[in-house]
Amino acid sequence: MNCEAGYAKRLLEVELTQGKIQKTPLDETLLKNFLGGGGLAAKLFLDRFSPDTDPLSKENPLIVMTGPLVGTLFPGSSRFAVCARSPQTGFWGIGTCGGNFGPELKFAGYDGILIEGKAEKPVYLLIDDESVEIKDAADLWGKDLYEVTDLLKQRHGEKKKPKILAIGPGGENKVLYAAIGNDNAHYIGRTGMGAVMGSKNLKAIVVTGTGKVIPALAEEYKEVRSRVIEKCNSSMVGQSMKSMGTAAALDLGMMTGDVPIRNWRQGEFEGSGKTGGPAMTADYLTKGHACFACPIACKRVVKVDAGPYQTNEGPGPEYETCCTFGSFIENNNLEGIIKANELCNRYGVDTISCGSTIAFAMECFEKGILTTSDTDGMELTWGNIDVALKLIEKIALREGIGDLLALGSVKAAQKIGKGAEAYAVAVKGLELPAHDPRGFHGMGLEYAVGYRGACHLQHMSLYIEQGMCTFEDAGFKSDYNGQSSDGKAKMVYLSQNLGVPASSACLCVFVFACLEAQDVADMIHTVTGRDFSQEDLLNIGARIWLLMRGLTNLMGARSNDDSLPNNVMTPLDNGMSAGSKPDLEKMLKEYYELRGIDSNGIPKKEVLDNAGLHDLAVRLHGGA
Amino acid sequence: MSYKYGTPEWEEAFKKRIQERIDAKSEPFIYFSPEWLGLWEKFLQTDPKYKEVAKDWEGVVVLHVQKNPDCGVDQDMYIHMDLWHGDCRAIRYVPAEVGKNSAYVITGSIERWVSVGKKELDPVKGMMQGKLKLKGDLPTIVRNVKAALRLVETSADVGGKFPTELDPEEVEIFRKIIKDITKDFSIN
Repeated sequence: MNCEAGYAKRLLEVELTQGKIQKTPLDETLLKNFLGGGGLAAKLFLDRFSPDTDPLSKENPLIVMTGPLVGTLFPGSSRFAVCARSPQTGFWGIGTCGGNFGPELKFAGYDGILIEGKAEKPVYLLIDDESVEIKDAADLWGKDLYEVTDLLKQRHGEKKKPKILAIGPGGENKVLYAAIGNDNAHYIGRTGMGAVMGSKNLKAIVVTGTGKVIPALAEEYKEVRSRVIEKCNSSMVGQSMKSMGTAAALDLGMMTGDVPIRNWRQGEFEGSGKTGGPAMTADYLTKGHACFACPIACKRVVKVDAGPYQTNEGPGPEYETCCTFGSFIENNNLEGIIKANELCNRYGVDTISCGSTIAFAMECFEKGILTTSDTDGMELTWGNIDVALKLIEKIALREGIGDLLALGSVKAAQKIGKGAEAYAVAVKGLELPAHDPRGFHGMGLEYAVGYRGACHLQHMSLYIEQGMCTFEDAGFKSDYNGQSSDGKAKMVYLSQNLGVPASSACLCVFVFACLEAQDVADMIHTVTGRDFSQEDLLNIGARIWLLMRGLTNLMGARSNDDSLPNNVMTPLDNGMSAGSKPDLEKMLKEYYELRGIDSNGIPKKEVLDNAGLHDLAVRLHGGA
Repeated sequence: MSYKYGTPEWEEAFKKRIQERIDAKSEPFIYFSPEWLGLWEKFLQTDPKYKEVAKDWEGVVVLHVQKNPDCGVDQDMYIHMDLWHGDCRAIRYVPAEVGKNSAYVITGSIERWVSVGKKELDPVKGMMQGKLKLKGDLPTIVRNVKAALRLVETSADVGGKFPTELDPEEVEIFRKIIKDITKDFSIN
């Protein structure tokens, strides 16, 4: 079925307990107000589900959602969101991903999939245009993510080329930060959506579609597409991603104090030059790889030919993984990082939370809080990549110390006690991605107020504060001093209003960083045919941000959850951000004022009403 | 007479001209002038910090300064830096054809270069934002980003009056300096 004007205008609903399948229309107003992706998923959740639901119960829905740009030939239009209440944080969970699954789902004629209930035994979902079946997955359960993806592609790929979403043993075993993989190379890593999928006994979703996504304004679409492609090709952000992948940021980040080291305790790391994009490109890259319709092709395909960390040719580590299994644990062996990436992928666990939790455990070991009697006899020493590799397996299979670390650093610290909480580096239960707020104070505020916890993707702050792009047309200053808290509240506020709608339209942030705000408004305009200005973009962004924040509030978050962890609020003695510390109190005060958040950390009633979120206002504040 | 670019005579005469201008201590001392180039070269040749961070760098970097007649620069300037493992072997103006075809070329308007010289624009941010355009192998640049930043730091330390801040009389002086050296050394 073709998607006219950017939408299929229907949702595939699957109830696994009773095996029911239905296709329901999506209201035009809903699409207009919430675009798609996380915004639309959040609205569906708010309208139909309880925020008190146990995240790993059958009552928690798993929502896969695309947006209007998905399946067009715009660069960066491959993305989609997977949402649920997060088992890792207890708050609104959202992970986003590129690849090919999102476009294929649109080609099959669905904007999203809403999965409820729990299958009695392992199953997978097979979608082939109008045909939707729940299939037995007994023979797939227990297989790793690469194996199951390859097997399903073989099984259903005789005539078509199916796109796969799948979980590995991490999701089956409900590791709280389990990931979902798309075709082996792309991962929904954050907030444990793989565990929710596993809790439903859903091993995989296979989709093939024969439709098209047809932009409403064909001629304008062509013109905007040419302009956007040209900007991607000529942008240094695009060029550096193309030539070195996201890990290009590691070498540069060492120059600016962006890269966290030794569980965020140090500012200098001798091995950084050995573990970043240039080193990977020179020694292990076999080819680049692109998400659907993307000219940048930032994905790496790598291979370690021989030795203890030998791997087959496969997806290479991103910047975040190079940090969490590199500088976070003081490992400068890139082959070890590539191996860790492969293991996390195969087992299906988030490389950020997994590496961070291992770094947390290493600091606990250093401090004597954990000893070899807790760690199955292993010495959790800094730089020990071999121990980290063993821990990945133990975590995914929930064996020994792995069962504890599968909870993530915050919940593990609560269980360990003895002051371990001081070494967990997370916000709202979600481990920080590898960008240090001491180098970039705005990122600290961004992490603190994030609706899903510490987040690097649902906004543009990272790129704006580091000067990779400026968006002066949207009201930003042309330059920000990273190690200053002045003006950051406004920067973060604007960057969320800009980034959230782009994410809900399902545009890749790396592509967005090559563009201007007007380009994104034009992209949405030409696809949907609706009048859509830059102002509309920012207004919808504010609405969706408040919606997701409100959901997290309904799930229990308050102002005391808008904080930064101890290790990050302790100034470093050395490195490029030595002595720097974000003035979080000042930034939060200014930010709450700008966003209209009350002292409890909840958006004010009138702010929600003005944003068109009356139902949410009533649920948070009472009244009618 | 004008010297043919690429000949030993050209090199000899160019060095002599620059040294004469340095010795003359002529005023105004202008950023991007021949004597400024000469002093920057000397600065880099004796800078231990640059030697350390650039020890792995090999190859030519060209700063391409786009013309701006209002500042006295009537044609694009190509400032050619011959850099080798921490040594700055030479900094010269070169003809456009040589400059454009060098391995690493960073292009910007004179205003942008002045912003860099004033340390108002971080050159890495400038390149990311498209305010400065880079031609060359990116992984090599990224690997040696410390060296690139030290180059810029030292350029600011050389001092000099910025071409965007010259009074009309100084603009004409700068125009003549550039015109003379361009003509005498076949740099066009």
